[in-house]
Amino acid sequence: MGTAPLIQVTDLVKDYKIGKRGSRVNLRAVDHVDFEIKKGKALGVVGESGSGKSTVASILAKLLAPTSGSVMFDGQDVTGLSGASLKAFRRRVQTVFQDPFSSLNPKMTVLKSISEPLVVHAVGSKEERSARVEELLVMVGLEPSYAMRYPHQLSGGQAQRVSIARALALQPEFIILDEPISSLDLSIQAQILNLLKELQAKFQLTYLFIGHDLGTVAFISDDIVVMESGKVVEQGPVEALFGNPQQEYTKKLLSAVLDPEKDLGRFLATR
Amino acid sequence: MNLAEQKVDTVVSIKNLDVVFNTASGPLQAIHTTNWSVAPGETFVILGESGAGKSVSVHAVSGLLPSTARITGSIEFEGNEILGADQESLRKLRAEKIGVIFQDPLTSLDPCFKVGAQIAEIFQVHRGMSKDEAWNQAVSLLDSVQIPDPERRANQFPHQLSGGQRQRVMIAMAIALEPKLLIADEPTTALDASVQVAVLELIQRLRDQRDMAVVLITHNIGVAAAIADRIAIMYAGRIVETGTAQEVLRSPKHPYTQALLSSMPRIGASKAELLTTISGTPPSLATIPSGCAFHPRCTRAIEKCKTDVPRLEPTKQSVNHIFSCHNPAEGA
Repeated sequence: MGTAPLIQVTDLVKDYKIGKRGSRVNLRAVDHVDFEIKKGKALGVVGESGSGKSTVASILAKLLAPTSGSVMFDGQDVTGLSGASLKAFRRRVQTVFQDPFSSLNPKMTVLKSISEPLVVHAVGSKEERSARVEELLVMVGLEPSYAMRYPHQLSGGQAQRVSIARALALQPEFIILDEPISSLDLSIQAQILNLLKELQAKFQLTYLFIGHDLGTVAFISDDIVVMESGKVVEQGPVEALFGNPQQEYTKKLLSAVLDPEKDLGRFLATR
Repeated sequence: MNLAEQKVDTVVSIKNLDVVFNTASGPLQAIHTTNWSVAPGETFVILGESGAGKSVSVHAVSGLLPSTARITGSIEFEGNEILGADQESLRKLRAEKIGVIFQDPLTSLDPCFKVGAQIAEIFQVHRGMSKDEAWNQAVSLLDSVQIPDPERRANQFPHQLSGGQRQRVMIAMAIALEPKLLIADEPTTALDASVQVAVLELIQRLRDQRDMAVVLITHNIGVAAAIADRIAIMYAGRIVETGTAQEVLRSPKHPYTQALLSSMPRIGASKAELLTTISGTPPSLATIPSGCAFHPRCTRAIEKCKTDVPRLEPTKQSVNHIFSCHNPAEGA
């Protein structure tokens, strides 16, 4: 209660110039966005494609510079970071993306992929790093023997577990999860969702979770931000927001959810 | 069996279908003794995870399997056996009577031609229409799949349309020749949820107007629930449970179906606890477990499950609700 937010996003704007020279137009991908995430909490961001949710995630991960606005991380504005202070920030913030096979180098063993962040940040000796990789693999539910495998020898779910292990390697405080289960098989999605939840509790992790399946986002998140065309149209605690949506757009998103129970026969003919 | 009667009842009927792919590392059996049929105006949904064989039995019908596929068993289309039929009559049958739509319309449309021209080509080739006639027909077809301002859209290229509009164009092409069967292979997987709803509504409307049979492949339980008359759940190349949507989803009997349904996160569910999960991963074709292929992941597995493939048998409640399990939970 009363704790300062770990992440505070204020008046965030991202513009893209599109079109040919001479007839450039401005495309506002993120339009004056504000939200905060308290330490140890998970914020879900929902919206249709083109709503700007992944752009926000990229700005938070410092993969993209905003046009204006500020991102405070643990009391420090990180938008202008560079050099050593940026490197220190990167250690505390990690990302997991949708397709694990495009985020793992096909030529690197699992051992090498997971230990890479440790090498970059000069953590431990080679032996200590190997031991840490084994520990991380067990943490995400894989046998230590997986360390010697290459990505093509992994299933989608296993590869995503490796991506999560790599994200955890530097003991970050904040993890950005951009559609982390969307490319996985149904029976694997629940496994990864549970894993994310268990890890969050164990390490007091703070999450930004982007998803298009509202049931999934609701399961992970404490609070929800609903985005449409770059703007936040509604935000609040998940139960209140999904239980009693105020904005038309949120209602539209919710009515498009197909629930196996409630929507049974929804499109059947009135025969 | 009365053939004339069957003609009315079923559009396509698959019996004891096996499909084996010849690969460099030996034959791989993609589906085992699969049976299903679909009637005019009915939607049959095949639900399963990747590698379960959802697409294989369906594309044995559409003729879109690679040439390495060895298909045995029986496929009757409007009462006539088509397995082994001559290529020319098959080609004609498939062109005229079977429409297919896929997940990603961008890869199915030619980026170099206006969408109107791509649709018009169908009428020129198959209906012998003039260019102008065919174009007008294409525009009216775009109108019937509810594309606003169809004349303008017909003059655009695929990249100028949204994902939902492109899928409507694909649907227009698939139904252009008024097929008896529409095969929809993950038709809404790449779309936003609200667009998904609109596309499913369109498929349903067209199905009812034209009394088309629809076979829809999906891995999304919500989609299956919303549109299916009947559902088949596939796992590792076999149907493990089939029945009406109501039967399969309201009272699932196979442990796999039950586990899938309970592992799905839902809005409004209590938040505190973890989801029910199925351990392990779906098997690949090369490593399908013996006996019941689900046994290594099944909480109800007994010795018999490791050695004997369970047979599909009806439930006590309904002869049409069929599932295969040696050790079903109480009540099955």
